[in-house]
This record gives sequence, C-alpha cells and structure tokens, in this order.
Amino acid sequence: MNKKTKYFLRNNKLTVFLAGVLLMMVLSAVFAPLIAPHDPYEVNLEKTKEHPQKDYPFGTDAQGRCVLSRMIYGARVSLFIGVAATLSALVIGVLFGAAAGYLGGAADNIITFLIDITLSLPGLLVAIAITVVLEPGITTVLIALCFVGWAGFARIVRSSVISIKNSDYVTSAMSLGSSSWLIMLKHILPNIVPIILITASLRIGTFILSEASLSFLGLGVRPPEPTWGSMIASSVNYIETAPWMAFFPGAALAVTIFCFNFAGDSLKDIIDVKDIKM
Amino acid sequence: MRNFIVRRLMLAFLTLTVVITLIFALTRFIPGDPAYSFVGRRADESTLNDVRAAYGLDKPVSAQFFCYVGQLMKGNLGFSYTTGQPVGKLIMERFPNTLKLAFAAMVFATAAGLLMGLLSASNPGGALDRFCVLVSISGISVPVFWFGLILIMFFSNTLGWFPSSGMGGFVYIILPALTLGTRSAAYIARITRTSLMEVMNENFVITARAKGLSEKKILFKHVLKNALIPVVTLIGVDLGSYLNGSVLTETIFGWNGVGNLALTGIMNRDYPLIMGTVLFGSFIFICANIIVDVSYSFFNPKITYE
Repeated sequence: MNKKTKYFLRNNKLTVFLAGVLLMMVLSAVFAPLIAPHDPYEVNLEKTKEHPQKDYPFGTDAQGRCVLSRMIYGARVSLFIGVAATLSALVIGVLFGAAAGYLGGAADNIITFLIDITLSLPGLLVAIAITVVLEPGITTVLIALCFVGWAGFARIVRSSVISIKNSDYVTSAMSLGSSSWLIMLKHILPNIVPIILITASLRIGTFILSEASLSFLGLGVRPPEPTWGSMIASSVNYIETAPWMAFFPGAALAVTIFCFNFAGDSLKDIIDVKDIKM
Repeated sequence: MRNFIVRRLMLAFLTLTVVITLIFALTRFIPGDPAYSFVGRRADESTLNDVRAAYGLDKPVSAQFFCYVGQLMKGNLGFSYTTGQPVGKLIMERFPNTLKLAFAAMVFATAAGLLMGLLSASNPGGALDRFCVLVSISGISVPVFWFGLILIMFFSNTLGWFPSSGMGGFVYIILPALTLGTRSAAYIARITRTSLMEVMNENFVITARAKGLSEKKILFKHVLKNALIPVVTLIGVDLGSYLNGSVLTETIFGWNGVGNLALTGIMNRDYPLIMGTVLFGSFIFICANIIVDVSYSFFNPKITYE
C-alpha cells in the first residue's frame, strides 16, 4: 500500500463503508442458501402480504413468500448479470477497441463506424426488441446487454490505445524491433488497465439497472426465479396495501448501483486519469 | 461544416438501416409463419394472403427485406395483433402525450440540474458541494421505476397531494415528470459542475476578475455562456431519449403514451406493435441526435470538424 492509497483510505471513509456494503451483498448472494431465513419459492397462502415482523424482516409478498429471502436470491441474478455482462462487453470492447486503435487504417474506419452506430442506438429499446423475440433467460439478457454495451468500452480503449501508441516509449520499442504483439501486451495493455477499471465499475451499475428494467417489463429471467426487477413488477398492484414488497428490493437495487457508481468515481480520484491521456 | 452535416446525415441513415435490418432479422426469429407476425393468429386466410403478397413472403429473404423497407417508406408499420389497427396510427395517437411528459420532465431536469451544478461549483469541495455530488450520484443510481413507486407511496398514498396515476390536468404530470427527469437532473448537475469549474480557471475569467468585475457579472456574462455549451448538448440528447416513449415511467403512472403502448405490446406478445414502437423510438432518437450534433457546432464555433 503506498502513501497515496493510505491517505485516500483515511480521507474517504464513505468509500470504504460502501465497499463493505458491496462486499456484504456479494457474500450474501454467494451464500444465499445459508443466509436466507426461508425458502424463496415457498408459497404460503395463509401469510400473504404480512407486515415486516420478526419472522419475516421484510414482510411477505402476495403469495406469502418471504421478501428478504427472495431478495437474497435475487442478488445472485442481479450481481451475476452485472458482472458477466460487464466482462463480456469488456472483452469484446477491448478486442475491437485495441485492434482499431493499434492497426489504424481500414480496420479502424470499420470498427469506428460500428462503434458510432451502436452508440447511436436507443439501448433499452434495442434490448427490449432482442429479449422479446429470443428465448427468455439469462443468456438472452446477456446477449442483449452486450449488443448495446460493448461500444462504450471499445471507444474508450481505442482512444487510449491511440494516445499510448504515439508515446515515446512505444516508438522506441518499435525502433528496437519489438513485435506488434509484444508491444500490445507489454506496453499498451498494462497502461489502459486503469481506464478500463473505471469504465467497468461505472458500467456494472448500468448493466444491473438494465437487467432490472428488463425484468420489470417481464423480459428478463423467467419466474418464479426471483430478481429484484421482477419483484418490484409484481408489487405494483399492492403499492398501497403492501408497500414493503416494492420498497426493499428497489432499495437493494439502488444501494448496489450507488456503490458501483461511487466506486467508479472514487477510482477516478485514486488513479489519476490525467496520467493517461484520454 | 457542410461536410460535417453531410457525414452526420449519412451516419444517421446507416444507423437507421442497421435498426431496420436488426428488427427485420429479429422478426424472422418469431416462431411460426411470418405472416402471422404482421397480422396475428386470428387473421383469416384472405388477410394472410394479402400480407404474404404485400411483404413478398413467398419470395426469397432478400426480396422480403426490400418489401419490408418499401412498406416502411409508405409509413406502414404493420397491424396490431390485438386490435387489428395500423401500428403507425396507434403510435401517432399517443405521441402527443409522450411529448408533453418529455418536455415537462426536461423543464424540471434543467432547472434542478443547473441549480445543483451552480451550488456545487460555487464552493468546490465544500459541504454543499459534497452533498450535491452525493445527490447526483444517487439520482443516477436509483432505478426510475422504483423511484416512481416511492413517489406514489409518499405523495399520493401518504400525503394525498397528487394522483397516483392517470391523465388529466397539471397535477397529473408532476409525479411522472419528476420520476422521468431525475436521472437527467443528476447528469446535468454533474456536467454543469465540471464545466463551470473548468471555465472558472480560464484566462479570460482571471482577466475579468483582474479588471475588477463583480463575481455576479463574471458568472453571468463570461462563465455561464461558455460553460453551458456541453449542458445544452446533454439536454438535447436526453430529450431525444425521452421522446421515444419512456416505457418504465409511463407504465407506472398509467400515462397513455408511446411507452405504455409498447408495454401493452410486450404483455400481449403483440410483435408488430413492439417492433413498431421500437422502430419509431429509434427514428426519433436518431433524429434528435443529429439536431443536437449540428446545433452543437453552431453553439460552439471553436469546434472544427475535419
């Protein structure tokens, strides 16, 4: 840990706290079966729309299922899709972006064109069109999110690669006769890691939000598997009689996304982005 | 400049082509006879034959594609499964409502965002600034559909100030506009803050200060004019995305706009309706982006396009 990091941790207690919250979410998603107080699928028609109480800390839903247990299981879907979509979009984005930036010429023109087009599509609408037609499920949601999400990564990677490619140390590596692969892997990629990290942590939140929106519209993972989005959707009609049904899953969603967005912002401060010319 | 506009228009045209191709390709994935995907399963044989002829469904795929584009050029987006009415007509009936909501949301977002951005930038790093930054990150993080429900819980169910859903007078638009506009307000606040802080450090501001102008005059005469350029762009882009029908917000508040129409389509698996609204939304979105890009070059003469 260097001085700068220590200084940062001391002065950013909120960031550390939020990182803790996020860690808790991830752990409870991973160990869901051990933590959840009830079976998330167990219907109990004698205990529908129960207030939050000792047995059911977050109440029960219209079918008498435990809201807290469903939320803990729902975290699995949200976090998995958030991370998986980010990773896949990142891999595609880095490959295309690096190729465009490094190769230049025709390859750059074609890829830039694809990036421009993808970025000018209305994301949610295209995702709706894809998920409404393909077989519903996690894979379809991932395909839809990657389809609209890769371009953001590609554009940032491309511009960073271009600026690094023109730096003196890459020129000297070239003049020493290093191969393109070596330059790419040894000199360029390590230098774009920070900017990728920042973009990724800001993107995870967006992807989690998109998944929840699709689930809310009934286009995500199939019921009865709980997701935060679908839990909110099924509570819309009970907003007056059982507000906790919508409140808690939405709060979990908001807190998770907030943590990722905040982390992205803080990363920007720790890693001085200006070190890398954007 | 003219070159830039021509290039931008070409890109928009190509983007639209990609959207149309994508939607055409997706409709091929819908199980069953594609003719059904235009008129629905309840259509009789003669209607089906009409559709097959109109869309060239008995011809090879490439010919089908051109027939589809041809129909689109005529403004024909297909017919709704459930009501049998032309999708284009259904969309146009609801578009004015979407327009109303989009403008109301944007008015709120601009006012709230600018105010927060100004407050933040007036004392960077201060308590008020940190508070505004937190509020704006929250605004970006909160899911719109959940935020809408919370507003309903609080303002309609508990306080009884505003109706929870439906359409009518001014009171009906307040909650949906707040819901829809919050995200933009947060973005506008962020951009205003960074942009103001950047411009504050420019040489011409230092000069203005050195010649003894009051802070108020510096802010309104020198800083704002320059700092607001990126904000104007953002407002335009967001307005463009609101105009394509905000499915989530309209659904929650029972706002009878294009987004709600899309949801009806999704519920009934009414493919022509879904694809029609997606296509319409993309078209509006792309048009709005062009207008923003072109107007940006007018606002900011410093920008030169190669």
